[in-house]
Amino acid sequence: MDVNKIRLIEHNTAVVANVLNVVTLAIGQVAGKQVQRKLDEETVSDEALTSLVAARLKNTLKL
Amino acid sequence: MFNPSVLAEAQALATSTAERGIAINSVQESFLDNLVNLSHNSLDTQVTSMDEAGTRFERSSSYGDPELACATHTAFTDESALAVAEIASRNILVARTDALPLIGQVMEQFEQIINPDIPYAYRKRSVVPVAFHPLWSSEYVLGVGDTYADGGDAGQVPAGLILSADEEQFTNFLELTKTGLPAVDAQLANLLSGYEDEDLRRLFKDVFSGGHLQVVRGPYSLTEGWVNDQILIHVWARALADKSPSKSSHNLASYRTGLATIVERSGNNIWHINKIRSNCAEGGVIVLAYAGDTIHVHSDIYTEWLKQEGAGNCPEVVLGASLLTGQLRPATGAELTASGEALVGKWNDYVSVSSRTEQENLNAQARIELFRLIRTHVDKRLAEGLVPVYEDAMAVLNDSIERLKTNFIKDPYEPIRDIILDVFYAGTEVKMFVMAMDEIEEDDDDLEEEEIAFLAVVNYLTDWAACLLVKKSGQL
Repeated sequence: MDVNKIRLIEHNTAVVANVLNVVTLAIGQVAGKQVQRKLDEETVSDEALTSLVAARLKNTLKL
Repeated sequence: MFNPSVLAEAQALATSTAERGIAINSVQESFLDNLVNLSHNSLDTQVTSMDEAGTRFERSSSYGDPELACATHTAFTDESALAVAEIASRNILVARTDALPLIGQVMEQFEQIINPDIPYAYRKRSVVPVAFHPLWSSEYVLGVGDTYADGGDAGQVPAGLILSADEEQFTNFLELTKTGLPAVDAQLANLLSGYEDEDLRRLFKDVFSGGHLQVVRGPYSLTEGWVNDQILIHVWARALADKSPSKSSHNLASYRTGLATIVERSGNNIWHINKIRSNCAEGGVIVLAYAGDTIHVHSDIYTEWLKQEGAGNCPEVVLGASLLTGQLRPATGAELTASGEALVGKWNDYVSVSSRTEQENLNAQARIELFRLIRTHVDKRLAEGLVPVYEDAMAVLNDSIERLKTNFIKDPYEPIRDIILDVFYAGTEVKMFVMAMDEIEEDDDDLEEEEIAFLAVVNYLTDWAACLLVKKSGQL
């Protein structure tokens, strides 16, 4: 196994996970009840929101 | 602590980027950099599985006690998210309650002043065929013309022959427009059916009450409506001679003399019209009149002329001819065809130059009006204490107006939105949020406002976070 690649995966995962974590939490704070309502209606699940943010990040940074 | 969905998405993205040798770094000394450092530890060299490498950092700690490290990271994450959310909330509030209404207001004001659909001058110019009703070829009308060939010297038509009080009893037009000749009356009924009742009443009043009856002054008098009016006036005047109104400004003798004048004048007009028609047919004259933006053409001859194969005859030839002056304007089909190519070229040049000039004028006017409009808001908001530094706002406004695309009025929303956001919300992220809302609405205009706002929050915060990341090839 290529150690450098493993190191790179670990590093990238740490960075991206922190971004996703902060952004999804902040969205929850900003949108507040709105997000909660949507979660209740299962229109925006936790997974869906994270996936939405990840897709946007990927697109914005052209990853 | 990371929830499973965050880890799953992060690992997928990390793996795909690492496969391509791309490193994703946080901007140094940013809060994200701190967060990453808190969560990430150097790799345990015993770990050789990629899957394990992806989640390895979660368990690791460079702070000795894993539980303490985890608590520190979680606390800092929550603190950061709260700070980010507070800033974002302020920007979003300003965007929704102040910026968006202001943009809407300026857009509305701008659209009231500037209409991008220019009523180009060349569009007003048109070729109007004058179609002669079949009655004009009838023996009756030809006979009327011959009878009154010398009627051009008839005196003035007197006013007040039939007063308003008496109009009603004479304005059953179907009844009044009769000659006693069944074939002619059938054609007259057909002619009448092309008129609105209101127009017939106006014509009747003009002539029999107002005393207004124009004479033919040349081909340029011949508009389709006016030509046919002459037949109706003539028939009405003859029919009215047998009736006597109860109220008139005239005694019976004077009334009958007045009607005779109308009969003679309209009859003479009919003679002139017949003469012009016959001259047009013999000489192939198409253009009856160049009357400003309207070119009246003899419908039958014009239609035949257009049908001539290979001659290049088209309306643009006539329109081009209308740009010439006075005697240089051709009238016959042969003259028009002979200069056809040059006339079409002249018309095309005119359209191109005049429309370009009008577009340029409108663009210039739009810039001036937009500047004036936004400056009004700068002044107003300055008085309300919403513009911190007048000179700064005006400098941005001047610069933005300068950089506007020439034809921005074709789609003015984005340029106007950007100017307002740059002038009034400089140094904030209000613009980012408004742009995120517009982008979402553009992608799906079925979304409700609340959904747009929610998705805009997602995009706005993600784009903002993306600014804290740096992409590098194969470097940590």
